[in-house]
Amino acid sequence: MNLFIFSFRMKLHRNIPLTLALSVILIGILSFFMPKNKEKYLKDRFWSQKTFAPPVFDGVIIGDSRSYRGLIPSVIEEKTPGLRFLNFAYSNGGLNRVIYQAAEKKLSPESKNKVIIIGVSANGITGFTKNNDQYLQELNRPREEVFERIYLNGFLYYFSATTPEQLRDSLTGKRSPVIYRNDYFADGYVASEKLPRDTLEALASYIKDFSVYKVDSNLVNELAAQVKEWSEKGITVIGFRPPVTMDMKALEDTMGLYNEAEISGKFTSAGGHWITLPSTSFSTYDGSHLDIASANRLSEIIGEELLTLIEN
Amino acid sequence: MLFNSLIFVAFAIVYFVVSKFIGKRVKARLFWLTGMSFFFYGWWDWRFLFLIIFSGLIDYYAALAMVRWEKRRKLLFFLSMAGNIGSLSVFKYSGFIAQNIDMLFGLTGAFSLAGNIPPFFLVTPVGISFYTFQSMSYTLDVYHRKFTPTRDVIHFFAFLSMFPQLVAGPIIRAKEMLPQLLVVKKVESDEKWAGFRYVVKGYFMKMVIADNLAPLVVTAFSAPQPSSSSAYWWGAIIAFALQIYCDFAGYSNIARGLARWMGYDFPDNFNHPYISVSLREFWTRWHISLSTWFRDYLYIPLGGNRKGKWRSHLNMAVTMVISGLWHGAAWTYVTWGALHAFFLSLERITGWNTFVSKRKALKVLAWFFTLIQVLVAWVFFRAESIEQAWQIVKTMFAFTGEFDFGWGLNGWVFVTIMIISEIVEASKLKEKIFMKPALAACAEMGFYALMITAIVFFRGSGSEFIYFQF
Repeated sequence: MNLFIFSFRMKLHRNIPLTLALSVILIGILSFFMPKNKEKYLKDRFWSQKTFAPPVFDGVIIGDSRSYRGLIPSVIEEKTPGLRFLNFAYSNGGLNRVIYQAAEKKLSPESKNKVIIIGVSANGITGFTKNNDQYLQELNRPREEVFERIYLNGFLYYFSATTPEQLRDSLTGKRSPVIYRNDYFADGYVASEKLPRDTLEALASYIKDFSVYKVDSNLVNELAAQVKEWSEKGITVIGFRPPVTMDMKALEDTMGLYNEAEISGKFTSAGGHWITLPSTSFSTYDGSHLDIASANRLSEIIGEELLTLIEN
Repeated sequence: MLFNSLIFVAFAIVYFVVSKFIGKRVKARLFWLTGMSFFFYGWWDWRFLFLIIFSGLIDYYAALAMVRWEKRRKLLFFLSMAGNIGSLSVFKYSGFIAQNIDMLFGLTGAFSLAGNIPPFFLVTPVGISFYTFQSMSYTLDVYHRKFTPTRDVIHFFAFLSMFPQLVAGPIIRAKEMLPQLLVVKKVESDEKWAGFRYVVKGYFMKMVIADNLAPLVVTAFSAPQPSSSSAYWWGAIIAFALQIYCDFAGYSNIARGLARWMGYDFPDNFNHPYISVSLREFWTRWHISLSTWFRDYLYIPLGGNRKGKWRSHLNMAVTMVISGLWHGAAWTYVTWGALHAFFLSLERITGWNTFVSKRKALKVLAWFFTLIQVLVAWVFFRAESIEQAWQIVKTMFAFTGEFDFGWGLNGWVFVTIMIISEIVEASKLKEKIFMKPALAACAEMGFYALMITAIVFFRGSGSEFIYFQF
C-alpha cells in the first residue's frame, strides 16, 4: 500500500499533461455556468463574413446601418427567383469609390442579372462617412483574426470572456432595462428591435453630425457617375431613401440639406431606377432604423420593383 | 505575431514538433530557429525584416572585421555604432527630432522638417530598440575583447532574432547566449515544468491582470474632462503601475518559459520591483536586462562612480535620461528618466532610505516612500503630455474630491489579486504553507489549472504588449 502511494505521488509530481487535463475539466464544467456573450462573437463573425464574402452574388446592397437593418436579402430573393443577394452595408457606410469598387467585386462574373441596390441616406453622402471607417477596419483586420472570427467564433463563444462585474450581474439576475435585440444573418442583414421604443432617440446624434456635415454635392455627383458607369456595363442600379420617421426626415432635409428630388433626378438621369417610398408605411424603433416587420415590407417592395425591371 | 493569439499557439506547436524531429543536429536547429524567428517577426510586416537583417549584418561583419584588422578596431566599432544608432534615429526618433528642430527654429509649412519626413520612416518597426541594443552589445563585447565573434552568420542571427525575446526582451547578451545555442540540451521534466510555470504565469499576468486594468487606465488618461479627485488619480496610477508591470513581466515570463522548453536559459527580467525599499533596489528588480545593459555599456564607460561624487550623479542623470528616451521619442519619457535620476541622487546624497531600512520598524516607511516616487514617475511615463502629467500630479497631492479610486468591482478584484500574489511570492509564503513535497506538487498543479481557467474566462480584451512600441 505504502509503495503504491509513493509511486502515485511520484507520478503526480508536477505533471504538465495532468495539469492541462485538470484545466480542461474545470473549463468544461465552468463553460456551462459562466455568462456568455454570444452576440459579440456572432457579431464579429458576421462582419468578417460580410467583408470577405466570395464573388458569387447577383445583387449587392450598399449603404449604412439603415440599409443593413432594413433590407433582407432572403426576402428579395423570394421575389426574384434565381438571384442571390448580399447585404454589403456598413455602419456609417459612406457612398464613394472605396465601397463602389468593393461592392462590384462581390458580383459573380457569371451572373446574367447583375444588380446594385443603394440605400442613399443623408448620412452616407456627407463628409462624416466618407472614410468608410468600419468597412476599412474590417478589411484591414489581421488575417488570423479574420480566420478566428469566421471559423472559430461559433465555438469560442462557449468560452466567452467575462468580468467580475458581469459575473455578479449574472449571478444576481440583474438585467439591463433596455432590450436591444440584434440577430445577425449570413447574408449581411441584421434583424433589430429595441424595447422600450424611443423614436426620438437617434435625433440628438444626427443634430450633432448635421451641425458640421451637410450633404456633399461632389459625393452626389460621384454617385451619379458611378450609376452611369454601372448602367453602361449592364448592371441594374436601384436607389432609394431609407425610410425614417417624419421628424428625422425633416431634420435631414433642413439641417442635412438632403434634396431627394435633386438626388433622385441625377440618379435616374444616370440610368438608375429610383424608388420613392412613403415614410408613413414603415416604423422604426429609434427614429432611424426599421423594425423587423418594416424591414420585411421594404424588402418586398424592392424585390417586386426589381422583378418588374428585370422582366422588362 | 502576438503571444496572446491563436496563430502564435499554432506557430509554437509547429516549432516544437519540428524541433523534436531535428533532434541533435545543431546546424539544422539554428537554421530552423532563425527561419521561424524571421517568420514570426515578418508576420507583422515583412518589410521590417530588411531592417533587422541590415542592422544584424552591420554588427556581424563589424565584429569579424575588428578581429581581422586590429589597427582599425576603433574605426570599425564607431562605424557599427553609427549604423545602429543611425537606424534607431531614423525609424524611431526622426519625427521627434524634426518636431523639436521645427519648434526651436520656428519652421512651418514647406520648410517644416516634420512635414517632409517620408512616411515610411514614421513607422516604428516592432521591438526595434530591443534587437538594436542586443546587436550593439555583441559588437561592444567584441570590441572590449570579452569574447570571440562567431563566424557563422546563422549562429549570429539565431542569437539576434530568437523569437521568444525578439520584440520585447529580455535583452540577452551574446556571451551568455551564443554558447547555449551550440549545445543541444535534453530538457528534463523539472525544466519543462519550470517553463510551463513561466508561460502560464506570463499569460495570466498579461491577459487577466494587465488587459483588465487597461480600460481603467485608458479611461482616466483620455477623458476629455479629467477627474479632480485625488483618490481617483492615485487609483488610476496604481492601476497603471500594475498594468505595465504585468504586461511587461508577463511577456518576459512567457519568453523565459518558451526558452526553457527550447533548452535555453534567459536571465530574470523582473523580481517583484514594487517591494523595493529604495529606488536603487527598484532598478535591480525592474527590467533587469535593460538596466544592466545601461550600467555596463553606458554608466560604467562614462566613469560610473569612480570619478568623484558629483560626476557619478551626472553619469547617472545621463544614463537615466537616455534610458527614458530609449522607451519612447517624447519629452514625457525623458522627464520620467530625469525624475528617476533626481530621486536616485536624492537617495544617495541623503542616505535616507539606508537609515530607515536598517530599522525594521521603519522599513515599511522606506517601502512606502519608494513606491510613491515610482508612482509619481509613472504619471510622466503614461501621460499624453508634460502638461497633463503636471496637472495629474498636482491633483494627486491636493488631496481633494471624492474618495473613490474609480476601479469598480473589476478593478478591485484584479488589483487585489495582484497585490496578494506579490506578497505571497515575495515572502515565500507558498513554500511555507506547502511544506510536504507531495502536497506542494498537488497544490501547485491545482493552482496552475486554476490560472489557466482564469485566463480562459477572465481574459481582458486582447491588446498588444505595451513594450512592443519601444
